[in-house]
Amino acid sequence: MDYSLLRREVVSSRRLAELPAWDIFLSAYNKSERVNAVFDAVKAGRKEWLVHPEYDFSREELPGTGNLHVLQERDEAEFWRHYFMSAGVESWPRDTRICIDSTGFMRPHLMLFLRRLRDLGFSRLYALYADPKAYEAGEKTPFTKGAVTEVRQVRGFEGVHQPDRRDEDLLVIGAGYDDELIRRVAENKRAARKLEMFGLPSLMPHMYEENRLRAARAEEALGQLPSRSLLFAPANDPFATAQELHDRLQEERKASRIGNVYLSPLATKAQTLGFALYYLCEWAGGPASIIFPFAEYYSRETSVGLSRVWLYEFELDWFKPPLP
Amino acid sequence: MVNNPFEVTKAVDFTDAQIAATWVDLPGGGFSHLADPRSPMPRFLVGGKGGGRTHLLRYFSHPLQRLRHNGNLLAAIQKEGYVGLYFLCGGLNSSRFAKKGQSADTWEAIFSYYTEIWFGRLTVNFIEELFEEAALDVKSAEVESFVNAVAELFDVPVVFPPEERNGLLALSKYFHSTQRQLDLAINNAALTHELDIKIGASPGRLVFGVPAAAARNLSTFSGVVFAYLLDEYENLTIEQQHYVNTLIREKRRPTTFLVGSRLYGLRTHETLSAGERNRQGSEYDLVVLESTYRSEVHDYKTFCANIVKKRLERESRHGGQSSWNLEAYFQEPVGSLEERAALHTREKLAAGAQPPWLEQLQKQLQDSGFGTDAPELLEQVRFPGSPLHEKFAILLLYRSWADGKDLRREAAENRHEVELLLEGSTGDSNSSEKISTAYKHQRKDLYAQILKSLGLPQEYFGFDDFVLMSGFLPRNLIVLLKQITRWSLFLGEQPFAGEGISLKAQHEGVREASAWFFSEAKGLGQVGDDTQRAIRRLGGLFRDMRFSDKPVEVGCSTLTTDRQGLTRSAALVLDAAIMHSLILEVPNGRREKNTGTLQHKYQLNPMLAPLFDLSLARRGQAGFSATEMNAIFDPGVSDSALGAIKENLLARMCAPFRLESASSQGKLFE
Amino acid sequence: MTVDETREDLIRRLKMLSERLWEGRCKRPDIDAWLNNFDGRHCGGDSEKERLHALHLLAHVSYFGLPEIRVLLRAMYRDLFRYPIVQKLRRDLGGTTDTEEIGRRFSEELQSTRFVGMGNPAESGTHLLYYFRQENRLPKSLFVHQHELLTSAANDPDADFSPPNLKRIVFIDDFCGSGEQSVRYSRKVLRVLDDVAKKRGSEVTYSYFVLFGTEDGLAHARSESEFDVVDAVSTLDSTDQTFGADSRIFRRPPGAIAAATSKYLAFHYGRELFPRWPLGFEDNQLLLAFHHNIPDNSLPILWFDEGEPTWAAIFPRHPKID
Repeated sequence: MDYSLLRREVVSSRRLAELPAWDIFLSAYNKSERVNAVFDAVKAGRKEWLVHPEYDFSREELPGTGNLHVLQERDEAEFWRHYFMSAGVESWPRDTRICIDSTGFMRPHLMLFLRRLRDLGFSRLYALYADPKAYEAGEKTPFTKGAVTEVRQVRGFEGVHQPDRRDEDLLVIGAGYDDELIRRVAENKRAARKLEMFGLPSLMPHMYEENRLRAARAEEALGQLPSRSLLFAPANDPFATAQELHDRLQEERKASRIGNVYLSPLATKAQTLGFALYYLCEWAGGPASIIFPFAEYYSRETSVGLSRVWLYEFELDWFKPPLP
Repeated sequence: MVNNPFEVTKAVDFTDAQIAATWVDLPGGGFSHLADPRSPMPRFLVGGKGGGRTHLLRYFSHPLQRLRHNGNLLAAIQKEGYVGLYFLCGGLNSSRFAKKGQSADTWEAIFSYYTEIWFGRLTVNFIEELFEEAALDVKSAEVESFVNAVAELFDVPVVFPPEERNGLLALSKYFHSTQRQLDLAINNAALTHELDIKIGASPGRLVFGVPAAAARNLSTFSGVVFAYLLDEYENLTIEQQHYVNTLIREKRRPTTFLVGSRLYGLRTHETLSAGERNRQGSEYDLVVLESTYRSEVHDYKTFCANIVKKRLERESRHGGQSSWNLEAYFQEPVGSLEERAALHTREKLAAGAQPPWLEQLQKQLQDSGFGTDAPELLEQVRFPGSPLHEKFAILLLYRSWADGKDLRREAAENRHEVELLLEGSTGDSNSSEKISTAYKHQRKDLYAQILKSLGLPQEYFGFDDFVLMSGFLPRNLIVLLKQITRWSLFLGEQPFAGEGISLKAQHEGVREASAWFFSEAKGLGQVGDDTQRAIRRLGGLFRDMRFSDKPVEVGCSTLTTDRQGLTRSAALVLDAAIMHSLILEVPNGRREKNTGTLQHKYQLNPMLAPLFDLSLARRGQAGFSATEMNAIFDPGVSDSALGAIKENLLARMCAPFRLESASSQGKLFE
Repeated sequence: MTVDETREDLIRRLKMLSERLWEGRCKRPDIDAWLNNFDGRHCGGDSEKERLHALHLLAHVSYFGLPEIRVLLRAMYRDLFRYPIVQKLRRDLGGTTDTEEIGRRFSEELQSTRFVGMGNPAESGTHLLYYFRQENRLPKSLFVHQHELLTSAANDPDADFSPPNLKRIVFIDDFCGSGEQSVRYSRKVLRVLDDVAKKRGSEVTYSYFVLFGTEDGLAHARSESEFDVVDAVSTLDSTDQTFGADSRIFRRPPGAIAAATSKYLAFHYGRELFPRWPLGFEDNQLLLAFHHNIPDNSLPILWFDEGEPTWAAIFPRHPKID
């Protein structure tokens, strides 16, 4: 498996016009400049705004432009069920050029979307991510608003597990800035051996350091982590992320038996997509799951400006055949 | 010692071999009297994080049995009379068994069946591996009978692949493929809303049937108890726990259960049959590890010391040290409390300046109309050579003030007594003795007040303090020592090798461990947030009480309440705090003489004491009214409403000691 | 927060950094030794104030230890070198997903590439090369010294590339500050190589890869140097200039810390140590250090270690021999 064959590029905010055109463009609405600027700039046959209930927008706060889909469902499977039915996705030609702006989407939903399209036989999915000029509160933008209510498997990423033998269960956490989330996930699988992935190279040199310091607060929950327990992949590259997971887990399997595998991407959207890609290519149907800490509400992020847009091309026909 | 002997703080991070090597038994009766895996009575082992449950369950599990008998599992089973099958409830990933367009009843049935298969798979796999390991004959007649007996437990026909000669392996594969099919169906239901599953066995058939078949047909297992060690029970929902309770109620030999759960994880004792409830003492036993530790405090301290010594031994490069003097490894402040108070005061005060407590007294007297008497009164309480006695004299003055006595006269009399105290001689009178006792009683808290006034941190040091702080959860002690050791290493010291660990390292380590405990003990959901807020309120209140002019209680971190008049929300939050070990219920609450209602005693977990500058000693206790309890615990009560209640409560402890009138209590809920 | 609390906070941060990222460096005794440099002479005798500001600067140094450097070297190979080649190969092969075919062709490309450390063997560029090779499991044969790129001296009419089918030379360094060094180097070295290439009719690409580069420095190198490709694994921008208008460490500093005081101190002490550039070479004002060295573009108060004047460095610098 060589994920580096997959295409990615970065486009500066001044050159958004260079982005290719698509048939369908999906974006999860929030008020940030970056999400709106991209929505406006993108050339697409049809542009769709999807509204997550977790953001708790009132009717008045919603945009006037674009096709609006206000979803009530929080469960990611129900969310897409509803959207697919109302947008008639199953009837779209399988070579439709679809692009999703990952920026505003909840991570579980993003991952499931990738899977659903693959299951239906679509050949390509383009995913964007928009970087702001600055984060309001430094990099300490809060993630969830209010408490985490449960940690569970992401729909579509539930595995066929075996009665665990503690020494052989593995949990790989993609560590973001929110130590509470790391702690929740680590606690949920406290018996598993843990690996922690950090974004390096990070977008800016100091971000890696801040990430490490914040994640260190969850250290006790992670248990003893010898230096070998760290993985690194660029924060904004889903393909290198998938490759790193692939390489590392292969190494782990050579060294000792691996029973159950749990993955939890808690950092960037690119990392999330990377985890999902890796799972779908290599673990679907096996003793692996993606787990995630769910909250009822998410904070409407407060970032400033738009600096660049990352574009990733997922070739869905490359994956293993759909699950039985 | 260059490495930190306390880096590994959790049982899960130990390999089986490490658990075997570092096992420390509980002094006195040992752990075996807490839980016997051969006992037919199912037992719940319940407690907070880091109480030792997982450690204990793993100790009973078969990999450890094997290690105890030099790698001979067969011998282990026969000698110990049981086989421990460790089972992590989280491995079921039981949050899958919900919604997906299916009814709760459907999920109940499917979860039960799925778990039956899981149990069966676990057991059959084990038997198959044991036979292979011990090179027993898998083609024997007894194996065939066993396999057939198991097949008959199912309500559906069981078909083995014909090419598989090894019956045990075939059976194992059958369980595996059955589970796999169930998994695929359950997982896909999220996407398809379709769930087509045939339930192949009713609850209990496999769980009890497989061990029974083994005991009947396989000579190896004749007379052997199958002990299922269920850990992380808190991962199951209420409905799922109904199923386990049904198993527990049924209780059939040779199967038994030991269930490990967090305090908050034991959600119900009801079974699948409506209205049926298991009762402690008849259907199951329950042990709260912390309570065991608490009831034998001296043993707990010895237990902790042994755990620590074992760690030090393993880490030490120079072989077995004959003895480890734990107390000596931690530096202590030099001098008596009086000397230290004087030293700190000298160091912190600018030359010729008046100490903050005298400044405050002066202001209070002036503001309360005692302006003309102030200079004289101040003279009477001044003891520049011993700030501790000075504070004590001030305390006596405050008491007189609160009692409405003649201040000038009282101050003069008290001065005389305190002078005697300072000299070391006591007068003959009763009041002399009372004052001497009072001083002994108060001096630690007075010292704490001095530290606070001077802007110095509270002092927490010494192994005894750390054991106290752990709140009867050994892991807390390990975390404390880990943080302290890390600080010691950072400060360039040599912990556990040369001189003792500095006070600074101890202080910083304690601070970090305390903060860790608080953030880690947070439960899921909104109630988790509410609980933390309540704890901050409670801790803050205790702190204000401790540092008031005339504290009602000494060393107070415990509250008493009869729980009457608590709002539902307040009770929920209070119980959540207990379930997450933020508050410890102290046993032996008293019954009120007249009303017969039980007075509960709740102690703020000593791990949190440093966060609120509280004493570790559990001495005084504060009785809170329903209004006060609700103000602290009910999330609906605003900060300002709480503030008003607090002011009222503290009024009698702070100059001018006027009790506010009832009408100014303010509304609780706005 | 009071002054004492600020200090304690910074010490706690430094402890975490020391334990997790700084490979155990800068324990308390080391920090104290460094703080003792600041005796108040630039702050009206208030050594406590000077030390607090110095502490704040120290607590915001970005240090990349050996594990991180290795990761960045892997990223350099994977993202800057390999990825563009693989993508081009894929395009040339009509968008194939045949990983074996692409792998084969990539191997050929790799064989006609050579990796060289910038500067001479004693400098960090060549030091990095060892880890770069190790991390990316590359054969030794691909790593040469500058003078080994040609079969004979450049002025020899028969001089050829070694190997003759050399297509690509990749120059590696840890840091690009102003970019001047790369410009000078390229003019000196690449011109010579280019002459040989012209004589031989070969097409050779020259790439310059660094682990860290400033935005301005990279831009300068791109426009002024002879390198065809200039890229950094990680780019520093104006927020990394410690006393610049956008400085991220003074965006929301603790109450007891004033940016102006900090700059004043760093400048005046810095001037005693490194008079030409008191705030770091080319006035870069960086707080950047690596496992193997610290660039002189970082504040001299951090690294000055030359005996005269006496100064206890916290990240002693091993100077480049030019």
